[in-house]
Amino acid sequence: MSVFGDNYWLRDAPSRRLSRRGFVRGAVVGGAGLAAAALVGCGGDDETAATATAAPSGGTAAPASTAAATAAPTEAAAMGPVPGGISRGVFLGGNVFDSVDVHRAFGDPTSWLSNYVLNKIVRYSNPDTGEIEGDLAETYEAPDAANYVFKIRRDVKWQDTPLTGGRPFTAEDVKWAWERQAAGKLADGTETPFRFQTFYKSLAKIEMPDEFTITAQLAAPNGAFLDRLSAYFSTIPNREAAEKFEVDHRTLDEAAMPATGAYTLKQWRSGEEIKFQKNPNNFRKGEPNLDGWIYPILFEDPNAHRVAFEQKQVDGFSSPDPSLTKSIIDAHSTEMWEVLTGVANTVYMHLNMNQQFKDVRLVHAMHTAFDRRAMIQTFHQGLGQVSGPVTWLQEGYAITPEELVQMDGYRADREADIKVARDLWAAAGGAGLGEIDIKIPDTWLGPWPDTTQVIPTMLNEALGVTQFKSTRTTYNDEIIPNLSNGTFPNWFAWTSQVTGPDPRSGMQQGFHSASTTNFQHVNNPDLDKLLEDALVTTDLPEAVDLSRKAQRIILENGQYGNVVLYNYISRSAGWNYYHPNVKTAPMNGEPGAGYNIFPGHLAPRNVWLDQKDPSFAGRPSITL
Amino acid sequence: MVVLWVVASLVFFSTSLLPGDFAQRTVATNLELADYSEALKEARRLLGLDKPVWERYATFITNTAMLDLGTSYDSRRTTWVELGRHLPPTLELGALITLVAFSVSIPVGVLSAVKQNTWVDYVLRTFAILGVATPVFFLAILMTLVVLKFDLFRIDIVGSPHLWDDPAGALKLYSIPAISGGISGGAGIMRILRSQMLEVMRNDYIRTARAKGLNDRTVWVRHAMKNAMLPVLTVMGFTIAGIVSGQIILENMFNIDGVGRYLFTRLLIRDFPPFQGIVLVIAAVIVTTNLLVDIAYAWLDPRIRYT
Repeated sequence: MSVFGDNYWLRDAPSRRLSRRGFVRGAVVGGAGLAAAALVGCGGDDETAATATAAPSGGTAAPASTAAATAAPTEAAAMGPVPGGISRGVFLGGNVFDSVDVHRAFGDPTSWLSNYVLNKIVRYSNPDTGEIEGDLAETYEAPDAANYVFKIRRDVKWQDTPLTGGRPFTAEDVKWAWERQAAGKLADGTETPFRFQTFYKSLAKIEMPDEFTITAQLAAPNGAFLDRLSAYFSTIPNREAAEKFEVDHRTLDEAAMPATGAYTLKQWRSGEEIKFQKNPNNFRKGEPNLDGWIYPILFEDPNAHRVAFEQKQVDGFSSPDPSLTKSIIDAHSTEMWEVLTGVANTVYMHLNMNQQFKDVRLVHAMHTAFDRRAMIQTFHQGLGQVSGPVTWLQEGYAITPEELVQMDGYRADREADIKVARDLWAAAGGAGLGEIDIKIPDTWLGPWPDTTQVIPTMLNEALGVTQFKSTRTTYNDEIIPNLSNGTFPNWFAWTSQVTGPDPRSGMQQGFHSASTTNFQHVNNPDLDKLLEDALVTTDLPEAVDLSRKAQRIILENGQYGNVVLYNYISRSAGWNYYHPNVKTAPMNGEPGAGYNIFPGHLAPRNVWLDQKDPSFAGRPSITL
Repeated sequence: MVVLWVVASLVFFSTSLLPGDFAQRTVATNLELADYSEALKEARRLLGLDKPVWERYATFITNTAMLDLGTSYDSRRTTWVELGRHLPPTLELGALITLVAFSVSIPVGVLSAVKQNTWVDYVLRTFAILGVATPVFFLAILMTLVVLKFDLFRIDIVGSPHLWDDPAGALKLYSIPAISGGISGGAGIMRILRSQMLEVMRNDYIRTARAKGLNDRTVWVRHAMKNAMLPVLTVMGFTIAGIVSGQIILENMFNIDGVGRYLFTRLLIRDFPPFQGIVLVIAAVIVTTNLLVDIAYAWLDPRIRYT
């Protein structure tokens, strides 16, 4: 059903460092990467990724998981998964569970964890292309973009605990979850913030024709509704447990999250290992492959992680420094695989069009002058790829690479871009702006402290001026509080995290004149119409076509100051006995490719251990 | 008490000056999240971070005076409970580091002094200078790479065994940090001890001891070393304080869940109550240790009397 049958990056553009083929591999693998990076366990580059690292993000926590982006290497893979065994990943100590309630957790770790235990009503069968299938829903249909009908499976039961009694999962559970988030109230009527309250408020009417059917009518058509319900943060928790722990929702307790899914939580306590045990009553018989998972809490120090990995105490490894991962793989080249995964935290340069950059030609000049490929080389050792307004991770909707490399700011011919940029800068009177400060948040400066020199030097040289400088800032003190009032600084860093393959809602929020998060106050009627039409259609090819037209307008206007630059790639390693969840398995010494979009449920379901693989020798015995 | 009050105030206000807080750490920084500001406000309210600094300071000082060192925002456990959880690994590592440091530095320092200007002295001094000059993490990384390369033994990073329940496993885990930390710390002690020994050996009472016909061993150990140890004692005081405060670098490198690593992670996630409380405890330990060192001075040197 997907229109994206072929690999997006097989049609790709060049990267300075990677060969075309090499890049394609990298891009693909990356997918699971950020997902993983952002969610399952990373530490710095913000850096936590598919395998076992922490993900960097502008403040988003990410536990590293060895599971997220893994790939299997040898003939054993061809024989298919073998059930049994316990895998050990890594949860990075810098990540914080802020709530046991998935509705009220504002950080990502709780959502990450919930994907081992809970289910969504629908889910991605392929997160990168956006193909969706039923999860708790046996079937679903959308007569139009505003009305949805879900038939709930009849064989789903809650984990049998004193709170649930092992009762069946019904449409009432879905109704409660949606209504609770939309209302933003606890059981006793207390109002409290829910992370996705705005989204659920868009539900105008929720009805339950019978115990296993639920219908949703949206206040306005939204073709991306199912996409949002498929995201890793849309798991449905148990009502009894949620209400029992409503008062003390910040103290970790395995009893707070009864399962419907692949695993049950055996241990979830602050400062202790996280333990998952295979759910014997999982409604999907035969799943998952593993008997359990253990996530010990490691700090981000690469030495500890490296020792644990090389001595097979954990099954995967990823580091903010890809050369470290590479050196480990090279030292065990016959026993390890390599996977490349795109990092979901998109790197941006934001230019304030309400203040310093009121003339769109100025932001277009800056957008064109920014040397994206040089930055990928400088900061990420060449592992990355340029992104347009829709990132290359969202391969189904992004402007094709062939088209993108013909556009300002993306040309392989750097001199041509420089000429365009200088002409625009001069025509718009850029010299009159005086000193321009492109601020860098401290979260970025941690891993890349010399950015305050690199960025102004690059821009000054490209535009032939001496106007640019860079100073330190923080998201929480200077940027976020000033977004809505329009006085935010110009800044460079990660800004948002790609959480799904469908970019339509995000584009609407960022660029539609009526959006409350249109911080640049973009007001382009043509663009508004395209964004509206794209969002209401349920026809995927039409949605893609309209979204690409909108992207072209955005690019012609220097991205209205929200200058998307690139997404980089995380490198992960694993022992051959560990068969991860990847889009393309590593073969014959070539790296594999992870999913670019983090789906949440795929790693818990798909990972398996080949205990007969020679590399399994010497792995310490692991019990729950 | 005045010292502790000053330390408490310094710790409180210095942490208050740091950018960010725990509430921000728990609320995803995602600009697509329209409700971010409201969520942040609520998170701060729940933690009491919405109150003015002076009010939080008054509460902090009042509670501290009653030995209530606060509760972790993260784990919801009290600082005393957290200290109890993280102190044992730190004491284990600290004891082993101290053992290595003194068992290497004292004989080496004495030997280097009594063999002054011989090849033995040159070799030992070179060793000491290298020990002082080499960063502890560098030495630890080198040793780790050797262990990994030759697969010498398992460093149980994940299991983090204790000496009392798995002595062999614990010794393997602690071996590299203990040796690297011990060499790094002991090298300084060795140099101090050597110079003190040389100075003491030139004193009249040593000449007298020799004139009485005492053998070299008795002169060095009973007469010279006891006096040469006085400055070393000062260093030992700091070493013991260092044990309590934890070896931040080594604990992180080997995932040892001790006080040093705990403090560092608290700082990282801005979980300030346990950070402030434990720093205060460390300050109290240092003050107490210095007092004990002063008392030990009087015991070692009969000329010193406190009135």
